[in-house]
Amino acid sequence: MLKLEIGTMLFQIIAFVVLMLLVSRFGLRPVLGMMKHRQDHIQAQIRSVEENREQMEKLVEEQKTALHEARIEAKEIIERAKVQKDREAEVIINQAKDRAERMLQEAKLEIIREKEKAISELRDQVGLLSIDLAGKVLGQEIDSKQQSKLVGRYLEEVGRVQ
Amino acid sequence: MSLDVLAGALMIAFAAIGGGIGNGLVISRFVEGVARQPEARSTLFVQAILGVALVEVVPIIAVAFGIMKVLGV
Amino acid sequence: MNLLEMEKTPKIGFELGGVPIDFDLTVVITTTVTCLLVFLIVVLAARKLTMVPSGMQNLVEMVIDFTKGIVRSNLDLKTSSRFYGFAFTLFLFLLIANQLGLVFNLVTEHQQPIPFLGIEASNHAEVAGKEASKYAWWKSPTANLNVVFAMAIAITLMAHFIGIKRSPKNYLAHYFQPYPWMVILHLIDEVAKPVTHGMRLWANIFAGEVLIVIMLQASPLMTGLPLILWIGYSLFVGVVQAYVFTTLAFVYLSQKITTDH
Repeated sequence: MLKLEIGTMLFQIIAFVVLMLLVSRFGLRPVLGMMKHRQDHIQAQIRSVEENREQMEKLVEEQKTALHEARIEAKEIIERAKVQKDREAEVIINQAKDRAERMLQEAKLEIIREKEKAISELRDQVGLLSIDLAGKVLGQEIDSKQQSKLVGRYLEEVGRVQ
Repeated sequence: MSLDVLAGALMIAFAAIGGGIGNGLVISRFVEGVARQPEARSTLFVQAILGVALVEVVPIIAVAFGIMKVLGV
Repeated sequence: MNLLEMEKTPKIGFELGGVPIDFDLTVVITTTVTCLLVFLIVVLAARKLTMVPSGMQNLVEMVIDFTKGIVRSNLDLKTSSRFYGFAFTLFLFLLIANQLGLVFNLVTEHQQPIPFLGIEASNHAEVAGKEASKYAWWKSPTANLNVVFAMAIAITLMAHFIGIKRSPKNYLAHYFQPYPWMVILHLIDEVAKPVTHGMRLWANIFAGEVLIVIMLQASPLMTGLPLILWIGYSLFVGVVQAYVFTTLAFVYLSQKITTDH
């Protein structure tokens, strides 16, 4: 049983070498290739997931900033609108005030003008009346030009006295 | 009973004694190691099995030859 | 007990230039069966490769990963990729070969001698009390000393050959390190390595199978639970020895390959 059998040894080695070649050729190479392929695939997957995550984070960041900017802008717009409104209101008020002032002024001028017209009319009337009266009193006719000059002088005197 | 059988029995007996001591040493160290570092259990287990297999070689060869002696091959 | 007969195997032999060349038929049969099984498993696994492995592919990939780990832990990355096929085939072959003898036994009894197969008939008339001659046709190939020595010697020769091819100077120099007189120890070591390497595997598997036979024949009390326990332990030993044999093969290989000894 402990005899050295060269035939058995040779058979064993040859069988094993043949098996090794066959297994390496038909079994191991495709399986190793598939394992490598899977590893690459998983790595690529992981990388793409990482990239996606980064992209998403970037997007979220962008959206956040956009939102922030929009909010700031909205605030600004409101602020600006408020300021403009105030300014417009002031302008309107000012305009209204001006117009009121102007109208008041005009009314005052009108009053003065009316008063002066009334006064001058009154003065003429008084002149005519006093001429009539004086004519009637004096019974003599003074030509009307002289008369009115005279009346004017009197009246001025009266005004000065006043 | 021939002396061959006695010789084989003695071989197996001494192989058992030696193997028992050797395996005991390996396994006791393994248990110590696991007690000290439970997280290294799997690594140590493989190493311990390897150690047991290496220790076991001399007794198992002795047992094999002992069996052959007993059988008278 | 006629255990002696249980261990006889049929043989074919011829002489080639005065050198007897014998073939152990049991080994020829079981090695061929083991090779076919290994090849079948691998081809079945490689036939339909999918990204998500299942069934046989999963198993084979696990074994490949395991053997890759053995090679990687001993050799550098560049060298190791050349030995994946060797490690995988060696491990799977031993794994199956070690279990082969545990499955069943095939024993024939012979009244007539068959000289062609090296079978002798027991002569009832001459040897009293002896039963018919029995021959085992089915045993683990690794339970045969010739097989394991062939593997161990082939691996050692391969290691030496690769070591010499790598760097003859380093190969020769490492025999004289760390002291020149240590060359004796180194030479003893180089002989002891393949001998223990092969014997370790053979003795484990051989003892396991012989004990099963003894248990089967000894008494009915031993054939129940003890036999099952022992077969279970033998299965475990077979796996461990396949692992140890492969690992040691690469340890010896790396000792010859790595330059920094």
